[in-house]
Amino acid sequence: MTVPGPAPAERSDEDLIAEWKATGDEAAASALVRRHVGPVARFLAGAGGGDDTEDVVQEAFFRAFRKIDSWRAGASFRTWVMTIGLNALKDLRRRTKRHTTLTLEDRDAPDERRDPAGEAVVNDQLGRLGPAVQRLPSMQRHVFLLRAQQELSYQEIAVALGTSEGAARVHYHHAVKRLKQAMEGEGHA
Amino acid sequence: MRDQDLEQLARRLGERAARGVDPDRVAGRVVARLARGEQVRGPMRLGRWGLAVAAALTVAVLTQFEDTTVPGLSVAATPVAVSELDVDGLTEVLDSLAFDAPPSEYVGFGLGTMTTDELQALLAAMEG
Repeated sequence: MTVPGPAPAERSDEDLIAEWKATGDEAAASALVRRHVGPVARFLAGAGGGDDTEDVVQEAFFRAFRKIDSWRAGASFRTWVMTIGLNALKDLRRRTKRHTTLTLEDRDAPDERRDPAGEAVVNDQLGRLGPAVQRLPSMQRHVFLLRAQQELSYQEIAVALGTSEGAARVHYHHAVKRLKQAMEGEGHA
Repeated sequence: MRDQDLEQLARRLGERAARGVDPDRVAGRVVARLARGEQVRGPMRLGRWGLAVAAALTVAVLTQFEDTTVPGLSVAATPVAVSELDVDGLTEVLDSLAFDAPPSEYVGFGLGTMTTDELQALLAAMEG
């Protein structure tokens, strides 16, 4: 009698990826997407996905599975998909010649789970921070999001973006400086 | 604004847009595309002449900054094989220069008067 293995949701990324590579098991691919789609979507939305976030997320995962042989065991699958998503986003923008349309949802839609007054302030700040992040040079933007939004270490960021840890720190420092200036400048305007 | 306030705010960036992303729908579409054997749409490539012109342009820009200190960019310490850069790499280089160099560095150099959009349009026009 065969003992069934753990459900896809309980298996590690590496196991699921190995399964997908070996057999093309759709359940393994689907489980990986479901596991990481939230953080990847937040990252790509922050990177400028706007109203196209779902399409870009879908494209990121699709490309990831298509080039799964270039994923290195031990590396973070999630972070790898995020970096693939950045290229997908860039390609989309180039094809459509459209620039970021940051969704107004970030500012306008209240979050009923939180204090309404505090939420209004946060929504206003998010409405200013989003465009300011979009104005950053791409490397600063990506480093900032991976560090501040995704809470990755500089080492992880360096690996993900193909740069050095020191360079990642410098990009982050410049990003924070510019964003603080933008937030304070607009706040006093 | 303190650094930690900014970081706390950043953690919520994209939160609502991401909430509109349906995991089941994304997973279903990804799996369906894979099952259909769909191929990845390749990125734009520069043609041979376009690549040559873009490479020359990049060299010219880098040379311009060789004897100056540009924050975040050390040309001498970072040999750049421009012939190996695709359009993304070239755009990245031009983007960085356009954003990071002080405006005074650009005086007397045509690129300095161009916006990023114009620089990207320039590279786009060079495609073969």
